[in-house]
Amino acid sequence: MSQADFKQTLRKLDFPACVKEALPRIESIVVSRSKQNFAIQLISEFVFMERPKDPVDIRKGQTFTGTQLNSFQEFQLIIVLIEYFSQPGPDATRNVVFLSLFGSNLTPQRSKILCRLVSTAVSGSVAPLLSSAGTWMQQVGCMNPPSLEVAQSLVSDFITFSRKTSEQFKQLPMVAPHFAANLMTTVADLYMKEQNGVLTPPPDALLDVFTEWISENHDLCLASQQPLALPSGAIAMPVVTPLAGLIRWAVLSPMFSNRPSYSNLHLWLLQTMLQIDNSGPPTALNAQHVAQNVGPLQTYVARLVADKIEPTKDAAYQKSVERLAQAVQLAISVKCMYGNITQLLCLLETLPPHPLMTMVIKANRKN
Amino acid sequence: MLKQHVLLELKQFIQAVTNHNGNPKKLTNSTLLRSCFRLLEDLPAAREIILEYFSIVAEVAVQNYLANANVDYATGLPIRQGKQGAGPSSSNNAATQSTVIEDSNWSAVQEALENLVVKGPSAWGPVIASWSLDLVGKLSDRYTKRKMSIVAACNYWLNCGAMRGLLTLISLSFRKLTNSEKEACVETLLGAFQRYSLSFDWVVARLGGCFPLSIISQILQCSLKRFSDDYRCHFDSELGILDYLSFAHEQELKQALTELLKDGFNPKKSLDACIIPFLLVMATYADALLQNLVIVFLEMYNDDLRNTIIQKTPLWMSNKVFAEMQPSLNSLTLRLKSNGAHLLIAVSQMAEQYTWCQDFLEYTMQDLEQVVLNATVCPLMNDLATEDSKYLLWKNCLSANIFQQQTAVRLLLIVSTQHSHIYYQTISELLRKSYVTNPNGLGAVIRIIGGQSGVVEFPCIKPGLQMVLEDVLLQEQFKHTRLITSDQSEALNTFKNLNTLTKMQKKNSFQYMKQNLLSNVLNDCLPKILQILEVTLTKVILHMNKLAEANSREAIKAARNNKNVSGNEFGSNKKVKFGAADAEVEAMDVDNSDEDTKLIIGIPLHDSDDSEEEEKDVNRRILAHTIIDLLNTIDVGLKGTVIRTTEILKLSILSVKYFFLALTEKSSISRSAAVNRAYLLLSRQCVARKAARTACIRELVEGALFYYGYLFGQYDEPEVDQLEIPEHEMVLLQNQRHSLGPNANRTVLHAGVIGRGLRPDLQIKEQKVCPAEMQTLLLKALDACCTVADKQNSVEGYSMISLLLVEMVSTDVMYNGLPFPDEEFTKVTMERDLMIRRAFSTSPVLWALLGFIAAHRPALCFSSVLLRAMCATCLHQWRAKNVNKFQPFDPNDELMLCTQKLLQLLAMGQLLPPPLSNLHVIIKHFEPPEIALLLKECIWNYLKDHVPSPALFHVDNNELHWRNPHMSKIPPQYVDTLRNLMQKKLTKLGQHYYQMFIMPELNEAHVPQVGPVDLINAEL
Repeated sequence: MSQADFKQTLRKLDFPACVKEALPRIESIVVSRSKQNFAIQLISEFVFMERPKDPVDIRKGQTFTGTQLNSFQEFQLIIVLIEYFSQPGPDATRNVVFLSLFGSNLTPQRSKILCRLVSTAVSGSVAPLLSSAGTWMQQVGCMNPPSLEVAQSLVSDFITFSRKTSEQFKQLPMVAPHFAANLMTTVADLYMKEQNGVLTPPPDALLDVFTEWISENHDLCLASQQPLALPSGAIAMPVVTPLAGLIRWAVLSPMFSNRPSYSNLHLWLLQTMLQIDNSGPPTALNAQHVAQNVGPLQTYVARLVADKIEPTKDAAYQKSVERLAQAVQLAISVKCMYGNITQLLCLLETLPPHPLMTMVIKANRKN
Repeated sequence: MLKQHVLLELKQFIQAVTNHNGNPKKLTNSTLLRSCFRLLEDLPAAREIILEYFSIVAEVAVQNYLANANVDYATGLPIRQGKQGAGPSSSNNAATQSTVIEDSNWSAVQEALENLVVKGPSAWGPVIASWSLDLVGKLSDRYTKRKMSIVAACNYWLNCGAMRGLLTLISLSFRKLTNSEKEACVETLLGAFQRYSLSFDWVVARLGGCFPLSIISQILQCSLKRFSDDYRCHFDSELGILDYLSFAHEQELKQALTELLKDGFNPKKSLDACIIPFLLVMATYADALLQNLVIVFLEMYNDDLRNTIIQKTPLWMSNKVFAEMQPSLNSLTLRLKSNGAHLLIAVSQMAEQYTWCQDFLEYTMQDLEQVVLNATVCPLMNDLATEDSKYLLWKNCLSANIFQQQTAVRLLLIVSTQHSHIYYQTISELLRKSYVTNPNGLGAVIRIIGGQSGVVEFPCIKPGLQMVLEDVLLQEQFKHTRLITSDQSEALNTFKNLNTLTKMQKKNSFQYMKQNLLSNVLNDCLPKILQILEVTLTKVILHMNKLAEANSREAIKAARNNKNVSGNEFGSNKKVKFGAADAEVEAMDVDNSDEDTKLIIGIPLHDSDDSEEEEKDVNRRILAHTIIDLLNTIDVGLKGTVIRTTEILKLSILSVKYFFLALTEKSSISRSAAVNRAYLLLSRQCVARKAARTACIRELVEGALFYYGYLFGQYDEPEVDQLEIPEHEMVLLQNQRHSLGPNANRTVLHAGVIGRGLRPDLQIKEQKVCPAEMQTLLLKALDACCTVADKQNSVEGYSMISLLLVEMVSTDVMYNGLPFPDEEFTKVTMERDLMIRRAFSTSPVLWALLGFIAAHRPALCFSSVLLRAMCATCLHQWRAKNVNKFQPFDPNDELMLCTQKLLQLLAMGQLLPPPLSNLHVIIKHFEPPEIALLLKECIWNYLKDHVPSPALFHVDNNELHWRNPHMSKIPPQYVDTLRNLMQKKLTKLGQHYYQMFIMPELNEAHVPQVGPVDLINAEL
């Protein structure tokens, strides 16, 4: 069937039906890696129902010209997509289709649909789709806006707007460990980050969930290092584990709260690092990411000085630095840190002196 | 299993919703709702579509409501079936039983959402709030068919369960919001408002109550922004909301306005420059804003602010509208509901400095006058008529600032046209307050009394004057009940003011007023003035009497002591004791009666201090003088004015009282001034009315003889129990003594008690005389009463005095005729005659009065009985001296003086023709028996035969009554005794003899014709 004919056939169909029809064709095109342009057209016109580019169609006065999908149609689309992705088949194919549906340059509508799709998949524990989403996140980049947006929407769906954390969300590491790991990386990036001089702590429920995840699945943080199922020739993007972000949470948390969960989190993070197989080159922790802790700590010190409090007398600060020193020492000793460690150590030295930290710096500088 | 379930449920739900084929009513079944609630719980991603679905439910509910509701669009209240057109009462009923049309599906939804808001995570709050807001906006926009007022819209929509539920949800969620979220919500609200401005205002107004301050200030800010872009834009909805909110949230509105004004006066941004013009424009459209703006402004207003305003004006003037603002400022002023007076006065305070204020005031006044002329009303007028404004204006009427005063006066005049009571009260207030507190007030009074020119039915000043007089009267009557701080009483102020005014008016120096208006009105108010005068005079006279009594008591006591010390022949212990007891009894009596009168009149009992009382007395006297002055100024009692008889009599009585009061003035200058006032008053009324004259004369004579006798040297006889019956004596015994007839030893006669000898004469031996000045003044007063201007010599008044004297002095009703009876007959009347004689000795002023009437012939004739009594008693006493052994003769003996005076009187009254008329000069040269003889033969017999009656007198060319001595030649039998006696003493009386007997005969010989000619002339 020619491209035009196919389009004509699809146009005769009603909205959800045309998606169902279009998806297999898209799959085949994408897998064959030819006529990518046609796939993009199909996705735009028959999946997301965006304005058709053909002047011919405008002349025919199509009903849905310019009109976006309404919320109910979005959910119709989501249901079709979930059904499609639940079908058995090779992971690589699913991942490719997912990546083509939601490329890195998302329109606001697509991004909204993506968020809802992922959220619905979490609620429905749709493992195949979640694993594709995990792959997508990694390919797009866990710290990049699209991923952040998805993570944000998941947090608000399952944490902010829920009365109690749903079972499905709690069991996410079991259902889709890779996705869960990437999600942690991204979410970790949302909080405890200096923005306009303000550090936002994560919601308590979120922290509890993450702590639970890590404590029950010791290698969850490393799950993102699993190889991706991608079609041949595709390049896998570099992996960022949640370790650095979560270490930041644990380190900076004493300045905000003394919830035991943070200690717990810290413990399990250290535990995770201990489990890292240090045979290959270190991949788990980027020294630059660890260095991000220094900035907020220095701000805090400055505030203490302004309030005429000796930083060495401040229990919270002491605890933070202690945790940081422990993490650094451990990371260096199990050799899971990469990047410019010397620079990190120099940076750490700029902090007010702390016995443990001084010892750690001294010990590692020799090497 | 579980996960499948969620997705399946979602799928079914989506299918159901998307396949409704355009009929949303199919969607509202309970299974769908149930699955919906489950999804809300389990599938957080779907919350938006679920909310969307809820919107549909709400919309369906609203549609159902609209289909069933039968609503009156004017009020927004449902019209009840069967009672349509039953009038406003039915709508009241409907309001009380509000019939909210509920929808079961919606109720379930509402419950679920409320649950979420109240118990769920706080994140739901803003979501549900903004969703509900949007939904309410959309629904009311879509289903409002016609424009309703805010109140009507509220009533209309709140009867719909869904709408009410949504609003409940909104306010529930608002309550859970943090401050920043609230700000966001206000933004949302206003955003929705801007989108659906026509149909959304009721929501804003309704919800504004949740955070009134931010809503109000936001709306003001938004409007300000719009205004700065285009000053011609309309703010209907905004004003509606502000109006609605201002009912319940006046404080917040004021606060918002204060802040805005502060910014406006200290502009920092370019937008701030528009604030003042903007507020003024807004105020022209919304009353609520205007009133509050004024209140806020007046709170802020001070000198600094004024300077700021002056400084910043150019900034506002640069705004396009502000230049054309002034006329509308005036109309704004007219719409003020409160503080109007305050504002205008504030403007007038600086009018001296800034001409534009004068212009502004002038325009406003003219507008107000126009309102008055058109007989319409405006809010400012009502405001001016309130109590607060009234007091403010009164206060300003006394201001020294001419603009302030004139503004206040004009405002009062304007408001008086429609509220006459204010006019009256103002007159009253100003008259009472202005004289001493501030002379500026007098100008205000003049202007106020002048009235508002050009107004047809302007209230008359009469009620105002009546009011002030009534007030003053009350105050004078019940002075002790009020706390009077100022020394000067309001009564005095009032009368001084009235005096000044009437005097000015008389001089016609007073362009505002119709001439004589004030005095005519005051004449109409005479009864009240008289009442005040009465109260005042009564008090003064009471005080006067009290002093006199005290004096006389002292004198008696002193006399008694003297007597006891000097001669002990009477001075038994018993007597002294008795006297003391008597005095005590008397004192008690006085006290009691005093207290009673005090209670009646209203003088405070138990006066604290004598000096205080003295001071009050002085003040009252001043008041009395002022009132009399006023009465003179307004020519009270003038012929031709209409006065009721009671007032005539009262006026006479009071005038006389005042006269006596005037006599007691201490300094001679003030005394003569006061007396002259009294003369003026007396003569005016006596000339005009006979009744007044009668009353005046009677009062004067009565007063001189009885009430105020002490002024004329009257001797008060202490009342003594002459019988001296011992207390233990039994009544039986007393009766036995009486049964013996008139000669019993308990018979009291003039001279004493039978069996006890003569009356103990406590009288001070020194001769009582009437103080000459008092006497003269009294006689002048009588003369003032008797003189008739057009008739030169009217006997009437003098005759009346004469008759009155008879009435008052003679104790008997019988034998008071003119003729002298046989001398024998005097024995019958002797007791009475003695009483009369006694009256003359205790009240020496009687001599003066008789002398006065003697000078106005033939009035003395009517007092014949008095003359007779004197004559008879003297005759008998001279005879008695004859019987007894020889007594040393004292030329200053009381008897001799009395005889002399009597003879003098008779001569003066021409009752004795010459030569008998000279008898009084020579009488002292005769012996007592001779005197008795002369009195009997010459005087008594002559008078017996020539009855002293007016018939003896002729009226001459000058209308004078007189007796021609040539015509009434005295027959020799009456003169011969005298002639013989004189001839015996020719050495001593030769000169007189010549004068009395020889000279007349010589004259007669020389001019014999004069008499008849005269007689003929007289008869012609």
